[in-house]
Formats: sequence, structure tokens, C-alpha cells
Amino acid sequence: MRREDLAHAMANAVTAVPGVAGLHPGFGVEVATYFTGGKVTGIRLAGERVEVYLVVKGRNLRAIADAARAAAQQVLTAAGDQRPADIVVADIAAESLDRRGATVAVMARSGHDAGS
Amino acid sequence: MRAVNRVASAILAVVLIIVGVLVVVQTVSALLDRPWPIDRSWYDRLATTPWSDRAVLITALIVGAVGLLAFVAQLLPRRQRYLPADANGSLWWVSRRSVERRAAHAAQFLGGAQHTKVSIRGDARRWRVRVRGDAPPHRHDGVVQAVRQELVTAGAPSLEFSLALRQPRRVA
Repeated sequence: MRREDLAHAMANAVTAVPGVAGLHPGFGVEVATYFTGGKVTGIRLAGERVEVYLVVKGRNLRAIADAARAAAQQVLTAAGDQRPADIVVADIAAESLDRRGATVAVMARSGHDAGS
Repeated sequence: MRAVNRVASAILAVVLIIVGVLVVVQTVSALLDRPWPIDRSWYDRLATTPWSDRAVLITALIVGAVGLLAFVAQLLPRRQRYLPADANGSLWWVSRRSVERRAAHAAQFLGGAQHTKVSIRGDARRWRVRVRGDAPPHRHDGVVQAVRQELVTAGAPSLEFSLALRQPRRVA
């Protein structure tokens, strides 16, 4: 499988995981797989380990990272690539911080004294 | 590509094109045994300036000092950008700032603290968590519990807490 095809396949597999909002270019030197005519941002195929940088939007990062790793590893194995995939949660989408429901529950439990 | 990278790339490309054209002009001129077409007074000045020249010494000192500062800055310890986390025995990494923000949010909205700031350091075995903010003593356990719960879902291995919570000031 060509490098760009592998990178695209990994990107598609990882972003299809529930809770993954997208791929992230990392900070500083851009994380990407470059090829003639384009690049896939957020996946670095060069090196002994494949790196996948994610933006997640879910609450349970542990489960999302685990599922993303499994998806990435499945693509690598199918392509005959035995390298391990490293998952990096580079950012968490702001919507994950929405706790309006939880806040209401806490206020109700504590007799509405949370803001006093 | 970010806009600033595009502008920097465009400027570099233009400079390289200009330098390339000058080199071609000079090479052709030399092959035809013609004199240097570009003003070369700058070159003559450089070639005749001794190392002991005051301007050379000052420039060398400034460049050396900047280089030394850059080197020392690289040696100074920095806070981790990513924290090593754990998922079913396999390692992954998570953005420290994002997790700190989530933990501070949890301390505030679930633990009942105010003006919270959370800082985390750690390795694959343990994260050391420092929670600062305002919360009455009876809420301290709730703050720790909220932050703990948040960090466990964020892949924290084991946690060590340090609390710096002040009694909130009463508003008259």
C-alpha cells in the first residue's frame, strides 16, 4: 500500500471512532504525512512508531484513545505494517466542558447552595 | 498552512529568486570577462575589515550572547506538553493543558469550588495534581472527588493530590 493511501486509510478509520472530533497538527513542527500533491495532517508515518494526533469531544478520553488505537492498529495490520500506533490526545473540544446538566444535578443535591 | 507561514514562505522565495538571478548575472559576466555588474564596495569593505574592528567585536559579542541564551533556555526544564496516560495497560498521551482545564472545570462545577486552577505533573505511573482556588473546608473532599473522577476518565494512572484551597471571602 502506498504511503498516502495508508495515511488516508488511517485518518478515515480514526476519525470514524465515536468521540474523535478530528486530527490535530500538533504544536511546533507540524505532524503530518507528506507526499507529492498533498499531506495528511495529524498522522506521522515516518519513524519506528506511527503517531496519531487527535482532537476528542467525548468525556471518557481513556475509552476514546483505546478505540482510536485499535482502529489505527487494525489499518496498519491490514497493510502488513507491524509498527505500533501511538495515540496523542492533543486537544479536547470545548463542547466536552459543557456541564450544565451536571451542574444542575449538583445544585439540586446540595439544596441549591452551589453558587451562594 | 497558517497565514504567517505563507507570508514567510513567499518572502523567502522572493529573496532566493533575487539572489539566484544575481548569481546568474555575475556568472555570465565573469564568463564573458566583463567587470562585476553589481556594486561590490560592500565586498571590498568586508574583505579589508580586520577582526579587531570595534563593530566586528560588538557584533560577535551580541551574536554570541544571544546564542548562549538560546542554549541555556533549551537546558532549562519545561513543563510537559503531554502527560503519559494509561488505557488497558497500553500507553498514550494527553494534552496537559486540556486535562488541567477539564479538571479545573470539574472542581468548579461538580466540586463547588471557585476560581480554581489545576496543575498536573507526572509520569506513566503517577500524576501529581495541585488544586488551587476558593472553597470552604466542608467542600474539600468533594473537590478532590470531582477532580479525581475527571482525571481517571482522562487516563490518569494513580493520583497524588495537593490542595491549596482558601476560604472564600464573604460578600457583605
